[in-house]
Amino acid sequence: MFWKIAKKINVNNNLLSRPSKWSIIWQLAFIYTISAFFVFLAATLFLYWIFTTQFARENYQILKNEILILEKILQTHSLKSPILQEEITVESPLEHYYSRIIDVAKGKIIFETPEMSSKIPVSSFLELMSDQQKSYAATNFTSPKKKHEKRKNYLLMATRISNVPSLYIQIAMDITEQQKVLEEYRKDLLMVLLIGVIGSAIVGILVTRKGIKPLREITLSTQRITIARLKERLNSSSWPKELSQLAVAFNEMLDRIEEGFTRISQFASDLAHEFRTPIATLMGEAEIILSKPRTNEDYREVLESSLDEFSRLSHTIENLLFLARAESPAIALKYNLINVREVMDDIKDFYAIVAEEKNISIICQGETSLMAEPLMLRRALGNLVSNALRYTSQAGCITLDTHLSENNVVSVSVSDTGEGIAPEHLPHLCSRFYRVDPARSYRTGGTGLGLAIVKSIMDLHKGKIIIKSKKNIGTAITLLFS
Amino acid sequence: MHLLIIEDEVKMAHYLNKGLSENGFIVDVAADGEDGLYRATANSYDLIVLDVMLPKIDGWSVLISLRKQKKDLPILFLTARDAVSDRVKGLELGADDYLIKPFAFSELLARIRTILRRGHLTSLDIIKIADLEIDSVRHKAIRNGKCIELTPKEFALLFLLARRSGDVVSRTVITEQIWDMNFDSDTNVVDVAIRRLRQKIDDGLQKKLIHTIRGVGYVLEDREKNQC
Repeated sequence: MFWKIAKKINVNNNLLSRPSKWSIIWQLAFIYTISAFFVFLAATLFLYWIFTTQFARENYQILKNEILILEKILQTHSLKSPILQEEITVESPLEHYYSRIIDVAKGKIIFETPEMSSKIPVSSFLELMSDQQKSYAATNFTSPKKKHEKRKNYLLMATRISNVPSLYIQIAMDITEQQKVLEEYRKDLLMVLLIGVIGSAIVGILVTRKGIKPLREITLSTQRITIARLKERLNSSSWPKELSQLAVAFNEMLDRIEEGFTRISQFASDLAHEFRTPIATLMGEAEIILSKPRTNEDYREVLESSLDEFSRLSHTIENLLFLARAESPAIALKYNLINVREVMDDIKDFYAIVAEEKNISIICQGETSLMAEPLMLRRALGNLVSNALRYTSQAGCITLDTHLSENNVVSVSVSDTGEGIAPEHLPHLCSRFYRVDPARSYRTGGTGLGLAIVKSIMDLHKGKIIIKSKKNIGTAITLLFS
Repeated sequence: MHLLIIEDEVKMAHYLNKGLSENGFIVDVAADGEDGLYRATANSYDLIVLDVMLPKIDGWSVLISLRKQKKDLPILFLTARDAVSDRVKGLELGADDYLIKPFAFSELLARIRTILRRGHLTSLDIIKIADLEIDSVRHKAIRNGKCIELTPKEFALLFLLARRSGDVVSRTVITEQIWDMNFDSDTNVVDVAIRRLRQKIDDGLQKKLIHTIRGVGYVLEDREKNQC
C-alpha cells in the first residue's frame, strides 16, 4: 500500500505547489474523495473477484464430480444399467444439471437428461471433445435465442470414456441463476461504491471545515488589530497543534511589532522632550533681547549663545540620524581587517590633551585584529573614552585593553577609575537620552546618545556590549566581537 | 567672483546671499530649478550652489543638464538627506562637493573657497601673518623673532589655521584634518588644543592672532591690519 500513500502525497504536493484558486476545503475534500474512491473501488473489485472465483470453482468441482461418477458407472456397469439411466435422467435434473452419453462412432445418443437436446445441442461440446489433451476442461455456453424463453447460460464439460473410446460423457450445468445473483451483487457493490464516495466527500468537507475554522478566527483577530489596539492577541488554547503553532508565532510577531512600536513612539516623545528645552531657551532669549533696545554687545551675546545651542541641536540630530541609519536593515557595512591597537592609539592620541588637562593617564594594552567597519569602530571607542573622561576625576586612569578571549571572540574594553554607576541604572545605560543623573542636562552630560550609538554599532557588528561598574571604584565597558 | 544660489527656501537663500556677499562674492539667487537652469546657462558663473529638493525641476536634473552644457562649471550641492547613496549620486553626476543640512556657514565658505582655489594653489612653503612666520618645510614657527616649540599636532593645527587665515575654521574641520576623526565628538578636545596653542603663540603679547568665533570655530588673522 505504500506506493499508494506516496502517490497520494504526490497528488497533494502538486495541488499545493500550483497556485490554485480552489479553497483549501475543496482541495482537501477533493483529494479525500479521490482517495476514498480508489480504496472503495479496490475493495469492491476484490470482493467481487473472490465471489466469482468461488462460484466458478464450486461449479467446476460439481461437474467434475458428476463426470467422475458417470465414468465410474460406465467402467463398472454395462450401458444398459438402470443405475446409469437413473443417474442421468432422474438425479441430474434434481441437481440442476444435464448429462448425456454419446457414441461418436455410431453418432447416437445413448442416454440424456430429458429436454437436453433442445437446450444444449451435441455440437456445443465439439470444441471440448476435439481437444484431447485437456480432460475435464470446462467452457461457457449461451443457449441460442428462442421465442418466449430467455437465453440461458451453461457451463459445459465433456470427456471420453477411457475403456470405450467412442463413448463420450457430456455434462452441462445451468448457471443462469448464479449469474443473475452475481449481477445483483455487482449492482449492490456499485451502490456501496457510490454511497461511500459521496459519504466520504461530505465527511471530507465537514472535517476540513472544522479543521480550518481557527483560520477564520485568525482572520477576524487580525482585522481587529490596529495601531491603537496592538495589545490584541490570538487565543489558541482550543486549536489543533499546527494552528496553535501558527498562532504562537503570530503572537510573537505581534509582541515584536508592539515592542518596536512602543520604542518608536517612546523615542519620538523623548526627542520632542529633548528638543523642547533648548528651543524654549532660544525663543525666550530672542524674545527678551527684542523687547527693548539693546547695545550691539548684548545682541552679539545672544546670537553667540544661540549659535552654541544650534550647533548642539545639530549635533544631536546628526547622532540621531546615525542611529536611524544604523537601524535600517538596508545598511551595507564595508568590513575591513582592522588592527585594534592602531585604532586605540589613535583614540588615545586624540583625547591625550583633554586627559592631560584633567591629569588622567590613558593606557593602551594588548594587540588584536578584527573585521569591522573602520569608522564605526573608531566612533564606538571614541564615545566610550569620551564618557570615561567625563566621569573620571582628577588623577584617574583610563585603560584601553584588547585581547583574544575564548572562542575567537575579540574583546575590546575601556575601563576607568571614575565615579562608577549605581546598579539600578546599568540596564538602561544604552537607552537613548538616558542619563544617570537627571540634573546633568545635555549641556554638561553630552547628548545622551553616546552609549546608544555604541550599542547600535555593536548590534550592526553582531557583537555584544557588557557594562560592569562599582560605585566609587570605576566602570568597565567591554565590546565583544565574535 | 560670481555665484548662483539655486535654493527654494527663502530664509536659507537670503542668509546665504547675505553671508556670501559680505565675504566678497557677487551673488544671484534662483528660487526654483527652472529659473536656476535658465540663469546658469544664460550667464557665466564661477560656481553654483544647488539645493537638491527644488520645485519644477529637481536638483539632480539641473545637475545633469548643467553638466552636459558646461563641463567645467563648479557645482556644490546641498542636501538634507544624508543617506550615503544620495551623496554618492551627487558626486557621480558630476558635482564638485556637497554639504548636508544643517551645516555651518563657515563650512560652506571654506568649501567654496577650496573649489575656486583648486587648480591654482600658490606655494605655501612659508606663510606670514603679522609677525608670525610659519615654515611648513622645516616645521618651524617664529613669532616676534623667537622660535616657538610646538608638538607635531600643535604645528599641524597652526598650519591649518594659517593656510585658511581670515576664514573661520570649524571644530569639525579641525578634528577631521588634525586627528582624522570624522565623528562629532562630545568632548572639548579642539578647545583644549586651541587654548594650548594660544598659550604658545599669543600669551604675553599685545597683538592676539588666534580668535574665537563663538558657536562657529576659530580664525587666525591680524585683526589690527584688517581694521585699517
